[in-house]
Amino acid sequence: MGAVRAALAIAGKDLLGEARSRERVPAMLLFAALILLVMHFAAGLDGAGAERLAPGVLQTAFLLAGTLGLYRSFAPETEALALHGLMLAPVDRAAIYFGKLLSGAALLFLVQVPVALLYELLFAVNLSGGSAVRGSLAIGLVLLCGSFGFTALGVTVAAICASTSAREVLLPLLLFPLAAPLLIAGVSGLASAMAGEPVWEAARFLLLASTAFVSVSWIVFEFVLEP
Amino acid sequence: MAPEVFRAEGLTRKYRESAVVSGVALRIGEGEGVCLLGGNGAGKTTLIGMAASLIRPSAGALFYGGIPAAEALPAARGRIGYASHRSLLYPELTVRQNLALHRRLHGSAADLDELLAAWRLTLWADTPASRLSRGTAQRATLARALLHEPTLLLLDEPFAGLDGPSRDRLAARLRRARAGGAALLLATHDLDRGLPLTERTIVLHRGKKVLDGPNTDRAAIERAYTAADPAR
Repeated sequence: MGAVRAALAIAGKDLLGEARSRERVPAMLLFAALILLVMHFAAGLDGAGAERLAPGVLQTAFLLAGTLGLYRSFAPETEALALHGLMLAPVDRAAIYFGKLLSGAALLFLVQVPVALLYELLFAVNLSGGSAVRGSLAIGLVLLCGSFGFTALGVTVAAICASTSAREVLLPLLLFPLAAPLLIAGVSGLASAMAGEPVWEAARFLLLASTAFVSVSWIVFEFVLEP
Repeated sequence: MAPEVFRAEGLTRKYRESAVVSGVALRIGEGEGVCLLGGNGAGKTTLIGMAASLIRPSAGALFYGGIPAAEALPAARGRIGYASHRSLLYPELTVRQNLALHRRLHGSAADLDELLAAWRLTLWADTPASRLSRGTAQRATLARALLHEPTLLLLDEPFAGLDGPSRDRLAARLRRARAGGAALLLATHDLDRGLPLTERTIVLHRGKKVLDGPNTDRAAIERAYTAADPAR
């Protein structure tokens, strides 16, 4: 079996597991929604203020919800050492990384869309700006690139932390500083999309960062799994 | 001498400065069986984990079919059947879904219904692995480990949790696999189960080999095992 088919099988397994257990997406959605609710009641923003803060608030919510999702993504692997079953497959172990990357990015994007809509509802703002279709596409592109970049980094960091006893503490400690450039580019991209400006610069940065994270992870992932 | 399936030379694994396995050499040929004995903490599980390429050795070399691990892997993993104390099953997935995943990963053409029936798992096919009893989970674990008809069987306490008939069926299955040319490395505490399935026994004590000899001398094996594991 090729590594691509193995990665797809692993991603499919993750999505099937989530469909059966519903452990990650509801928790991520609830967590992100709580952050928006707290901001709504704490900041008491009017329309202009809500628009100005939207990129930062949304990216913060995605970062924290995404971290929760990453933590949970390795829980089924360690519970009965199921990860060893994947490691015994006769393919490059980077297939495990790519499988987790595909499923993790898909689930994070699945959370981002309703959370962005909830922001619009709570703060009575129009995130997509003047042109609904173009603005929505631009926001969608930034969110998609952001979720891919965050997961590309996060899967490797989560795999490093999964075998440690202090994983809950270690994951954000390692992840947040490394994810800071992605967060900044995501905020900048969302702000551009809302202002009706091109988002290519932010999307290009997110894709370049994703490529760097994927390249490094491809090389080191086997050593992360088999210390 | 039977063609070599697996060989380890000077296999060592250290955790910090403590050696859990130290300088172990081992060769298993086609159709051969080796019983691995030792008390708790003797290094059996670590040795089998290294042989399965799940734990990186601190020193030493591994060969699969006479080829160094660096060249033989990852393809050689397709010939390994590994079962350990843990089930390696996804708790939220059903037995059928777990087996289907591993069938895909190994590119096996095994018929799932036949596999489930062969391991008396048909009744639990659509039950999540987290809800299985100990014995049923062990049968599912073994079905997963052996579904791709591996030629190097690395089994750590495979009889644990099984009832009498299931133990007998597993023993018969292992004999058939060996008759077909599979090599077996079997870690167990149960001499009465382990010795009849193998020709040679290795006794480990604190990571070191203290005996490596034929099963014909059972008295010597029992003496070495008792000395290595005073809790017996």
